[in-house]
Amino acid sequence: MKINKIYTDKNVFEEMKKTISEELVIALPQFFENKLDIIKEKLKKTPFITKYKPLEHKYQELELTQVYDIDLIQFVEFFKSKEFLQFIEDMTDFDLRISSVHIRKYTHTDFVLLSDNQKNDDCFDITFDLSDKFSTKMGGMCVYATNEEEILYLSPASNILTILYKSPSIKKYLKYLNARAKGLEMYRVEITAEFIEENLIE
Amino acid sequence: MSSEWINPVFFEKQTLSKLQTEYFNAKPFKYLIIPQFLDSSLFKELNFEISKLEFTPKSSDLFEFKQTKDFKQLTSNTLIKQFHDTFKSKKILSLFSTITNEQYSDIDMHAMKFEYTNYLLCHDDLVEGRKTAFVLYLNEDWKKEDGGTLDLFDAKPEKIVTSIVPIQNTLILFQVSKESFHQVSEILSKKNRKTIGGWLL
Repeated sequence: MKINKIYTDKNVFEEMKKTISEELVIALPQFFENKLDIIKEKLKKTPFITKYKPLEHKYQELELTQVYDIDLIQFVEFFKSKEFLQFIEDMTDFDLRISSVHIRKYTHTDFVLLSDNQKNDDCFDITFDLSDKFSTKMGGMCVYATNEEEILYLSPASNILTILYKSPSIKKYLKYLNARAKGLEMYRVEITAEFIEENLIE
Repeated sequence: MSSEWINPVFFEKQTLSKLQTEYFNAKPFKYLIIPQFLDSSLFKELNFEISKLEFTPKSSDLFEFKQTKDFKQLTSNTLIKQFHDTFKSKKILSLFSTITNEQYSDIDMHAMKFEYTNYLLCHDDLVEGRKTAFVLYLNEDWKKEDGGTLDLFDAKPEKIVTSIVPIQNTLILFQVSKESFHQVSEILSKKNRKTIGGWLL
């Protein structure tokens, strides 16, 4: 997997660093140079396991230890790689470790609710989105919220990496995918990067 | 005045006893379906008045639907005020008390409209003061394929145990508890699911 070379350009990278330090969030469209059609086709053919807790979430998840396709293995391993971690660390200026990687599929009737069981960790929430074309009327937006207000909406998109500093007061939900989304699929790689040292953002 | 709204059969001792048995034996938690609850001509008039009300869109992680103000605030509409006053009258609250074996002193009441793709995901309704939830269906000609069923979950909750299709002029009562998990499934047709709902307090 190859990161779009525009994001390794020194000047662009400095801009990205500035954005994440000031805005605490950055979205990188066309993140991979690779054509992702093959990955997407293979994901569509791979069995996912349904995860349903009525008070928390409904979606399907890929059992990463049960992936045998070489393209998918490379795709998954990239997000666990030193190269990817280095890219995130250099951008954020923090020592981090990738603590979780999940590949989830969301289709009609899926959702994630705000829940007391959501971890309140201080971390970077990283999402690589590989979704079909959605409209906002279909649901599927990922919403980050504090107890007081909704602070960020991420609509489903394709080949986009989003990095967000998630303080313990921020939770997220994924809006129910309604009947307008019938037949469409959202694939999201959901990654958590935790701080190694006590170098938390003030 | 109050009894003219309610189908008189529900004041008969035998009927009440049957309703009480059904309520207490219901699974996964105490609930009751009472068909033909209101007098049919008053129901039609009420339904017409409700259709003229303003419904405000409500949206969160849990739901997407439209709702009116609490009927306590809709004092300018004579018929709705009359219905609200009737529903919270001693005679009607005592009818519900007999069925559910709870004592009530007040009600919260509003109307809701679920349009295409609207939903209300699993929750328990548990808020201090709420003893029993009620829903009166206003929509007509409804089929299971239209969605909008009231789904009742097991106590964990893990799965749906029963699904109630919204039939016009049917009243649902269910006990509010830490196990009263329920949802309104997504509306899958262009029909509107309209209800008067709320809680006996």
